[in-house]
Amino acid sequence: MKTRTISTKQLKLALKYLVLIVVCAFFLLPFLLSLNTAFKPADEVSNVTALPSRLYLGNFAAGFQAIARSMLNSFLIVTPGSLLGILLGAFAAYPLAQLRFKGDTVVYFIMLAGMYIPFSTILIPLFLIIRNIGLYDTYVGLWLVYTAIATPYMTLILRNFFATIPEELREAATLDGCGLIKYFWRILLPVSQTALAACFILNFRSFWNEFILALTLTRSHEFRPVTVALQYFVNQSSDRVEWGPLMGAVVFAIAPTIIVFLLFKKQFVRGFVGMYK
Amino acid sequence: MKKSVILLILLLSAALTWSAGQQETPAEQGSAAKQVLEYWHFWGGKSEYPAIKKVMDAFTAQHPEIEIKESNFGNAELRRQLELSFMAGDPPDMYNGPVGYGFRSYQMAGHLQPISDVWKEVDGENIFPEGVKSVVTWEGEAWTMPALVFQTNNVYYNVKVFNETGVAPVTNYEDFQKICNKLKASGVNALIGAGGSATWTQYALFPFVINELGPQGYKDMAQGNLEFDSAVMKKLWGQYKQYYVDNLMEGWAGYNWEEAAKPLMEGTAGMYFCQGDWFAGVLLTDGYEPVKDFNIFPAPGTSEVFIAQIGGFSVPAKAKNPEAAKLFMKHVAEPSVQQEFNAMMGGIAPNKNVSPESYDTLHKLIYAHFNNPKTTVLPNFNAVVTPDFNRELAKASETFCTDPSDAVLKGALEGLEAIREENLASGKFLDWGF
Amino acid sequence: MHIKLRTEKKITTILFLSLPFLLFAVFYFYPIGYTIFLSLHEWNGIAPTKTPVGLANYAFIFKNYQFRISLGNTIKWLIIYVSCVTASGLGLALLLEKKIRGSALFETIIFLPTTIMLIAAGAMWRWLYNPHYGFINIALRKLGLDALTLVWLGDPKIATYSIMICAIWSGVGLAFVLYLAGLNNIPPEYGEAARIDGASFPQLFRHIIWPMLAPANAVVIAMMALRAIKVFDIVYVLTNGGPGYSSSVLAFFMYDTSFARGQFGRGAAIATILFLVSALIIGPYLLYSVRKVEAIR
Repeated sequence: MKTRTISTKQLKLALKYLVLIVVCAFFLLPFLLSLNTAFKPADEVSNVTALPSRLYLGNFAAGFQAIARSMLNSFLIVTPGSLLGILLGAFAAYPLAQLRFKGDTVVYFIMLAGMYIPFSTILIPLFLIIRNIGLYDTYVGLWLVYTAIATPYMTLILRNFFATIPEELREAATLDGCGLIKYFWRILLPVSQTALAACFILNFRSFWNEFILALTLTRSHEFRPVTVALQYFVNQSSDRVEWGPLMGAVVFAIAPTIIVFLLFKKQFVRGFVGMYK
Repeated sequence: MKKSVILLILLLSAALTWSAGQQETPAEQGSAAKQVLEYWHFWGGKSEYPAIKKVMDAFTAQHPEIEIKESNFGNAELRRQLELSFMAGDPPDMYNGPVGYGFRSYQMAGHLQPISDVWKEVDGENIFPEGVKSVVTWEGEAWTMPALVFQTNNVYYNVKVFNETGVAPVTNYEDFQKICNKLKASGVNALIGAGGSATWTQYALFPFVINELGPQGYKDMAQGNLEFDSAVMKKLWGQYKQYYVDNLMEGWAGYNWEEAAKPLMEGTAGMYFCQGDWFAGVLLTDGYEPVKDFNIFPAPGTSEVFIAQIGGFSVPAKAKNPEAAKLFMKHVAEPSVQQEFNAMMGGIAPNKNVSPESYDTLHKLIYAHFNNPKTTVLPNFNAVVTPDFNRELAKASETFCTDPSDAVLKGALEGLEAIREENLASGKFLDWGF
Repeated sequence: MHIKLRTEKKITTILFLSLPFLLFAVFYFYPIGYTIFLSLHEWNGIAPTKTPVGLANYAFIFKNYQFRISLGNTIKWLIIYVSCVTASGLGLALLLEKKIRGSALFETIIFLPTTIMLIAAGAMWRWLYNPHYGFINIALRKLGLDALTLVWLGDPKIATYSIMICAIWSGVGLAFVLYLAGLNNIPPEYGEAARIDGASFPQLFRHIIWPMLAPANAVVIAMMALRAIKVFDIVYVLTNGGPGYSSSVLAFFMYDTSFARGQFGRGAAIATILFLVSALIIGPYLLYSVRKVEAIR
């Protein structure tokens, strides 16, 4: 006769599930709450534990109106900025990984050090530089700055990646008469597509979510990205906040990075992990 | 497959947001070259925004060729953004800011342009009282067009609660403590305050300075002559603790200044010790009647004093459209506009030509007090000291109110003394002639 | 042939490194130097001249009340935030190391908060923390735990911790993902062998897992420490440093001093101090990772 006791293994598993479910509830709570509030008209907002009586879309309209322009700005800032960042990272990584030279560790060290400088340390001079070259409150200004701050990370990831590409590939190419520069564009980059894609996603998220530099280097409605616009929306009415529209705006603001994450989970994670191998 | 889907979605959303962004500039719809007046303010509250909107709409009705592009920042952020825009050489055409020192540092650096021409047009010399003139002009030039005057040393109280508890306004602090005790005994909190900004706790500090040292004490503090490590200063803060902090209801810091109206009018608290008269604006918007539902009395010790927070408009030097700004100022100086603006905001008009009859019962009293020759009009602290010093005092008061321990007081007074000495040594204290 | 290749290598190297280096010089080196220069002056940001004051700004800061609190808070962040995120990330990674039904879903949910901007995270948590309508206090009241309904963001004693909870919520996903990768890098044979020998989990952890996680540990701790030092966004949107200065941290103190008080010289001095603090904390890790790179070579 089989004894119908729960084995310790099953108990452990059940416990594991319990902990994970509780933890995930913690992580999901703010999202669910915000969504719940976003669907409620103003008079229902304060009744937090109740579900909306109907699916009110006014908050999404109001929220979208508040940050629509800034979302466009973010797209136009983040996409070129991310691409430029990858490009410059690849530029730096190529010699460091494949064309060894004396002192390349020193150079690598210097590039890495850039990763660890808090932006607030260089905020004021950065502002003055951008202003003096006439790029304050423009897309180009942010492209430059974001590219600069992405370069260390990009260099790190791509250098590690390029180092895994066998020397033989380059030797074969040069034997065939391909110059070192051509090799970079025609062979190395195409071969590194997956790493580059992961880098693009990494940059996309970092730049989309960046705040302090954007706050200081943009100001007008026409150019400020969504982090800044959302922050203003939070603090808009001297002290009072309208939670419904704010949650509507939040939904739009976080949608792009969440969508990118859900669709490209592997690359997302790979990018992060690759940074720190 | 995935890649192209994503690209499509990105392009689609970009297109969507682009079209939405375009819809926000209706100026493109037909009318030829419209002038733009870029205006920054900090009036976003439920009583404030409709008030300024009305002024702007009235102006646009009279000047349809000018389109006002307004941005509303919070008070602290407005300052930051304004300074950034000065540094970038790209300021708005008009903004609201504190008077006096509020414009002085900008003016000294050449970032403001005088508005003396408009001033003369509206006869500023004669329509504005001395107390106001002294902080909007400097060395013969006018820099700010005043539109609002708020008193900030009034105690707001719930009339019903007072009647039911059998207490009445008082003029000294022993009696003040007695009515606080009576309120508490009958189950009502004595005082409500507000968090969200360090300014509110700062307002509550000044009555104690004036009560102990008279208006001269306030002036001394504003001139950097009152030492923060002195015995009298410690005594003042002790009184601040005893009569204000210790009587505050629990959880006061969880309300911002607009939300605080609710507990006051619902009878959870009896008094709001020292808030600017814009608070009256909120109460009026909420539908309460002055004198019947809420009333005021001057903070004990300050019955002969009017601490004035003046709201005004200034024009940066590099403004792209200063003419439009000046037209707006002319508009806002008119008695009818000032009267309506103040009625909604809860203040009183600085323009002497606004008839006192147009005010409600409460504001008639405030107005009478303001114009009483025996009243000493003191400009608000932020108008007469450096932003650094003002912010330090505000933050010190806020910190102390949330934790009135000796350690906190010591730290706060040390910080204040350091800045006072620094400002004094570098000649940053100015004589505003009040 | 060789010579040609060598020169070609040289030219290519210089060509490719020039643009990144230029960017670096303009946007990193020069600003750091300028910040240090500015810290020795007094400047309100808009006056045309800057007044040299030597080390007066530093002297002022070290005696300043707000600085002491900001520094203290930054240290709290370094200790509490880093340890909580690291421990949670590791714990979750250990739980999900072996694939179980729903692993993918759990992993996605755990990482989700990391994908969104801190401003949005702050907005959501500010709503959660609202003392009158926020979910947390309402839920506590419904459970009868009225005593626990604190003024989360308005009480100076707990404001910083409330902010930390939000930051931890946002940061665990990253630590989790890194530890997961680290755990997956440990050859399974070690674990198998130990299990066959009858080792218990605590023994397994101490003798095999923990030592082999050393590189992952270094990365996670260094990264979280850097985040702790850099904290700005979340403080800005949740409490603006308040009430009083109770939740102010160094980066916020720097921004506030420069832009809200118009003291750019003093702000630059704080920025320099911040830079030195981060160099102190991150320096060792930097050396470690570079040595590792050398070893691989």
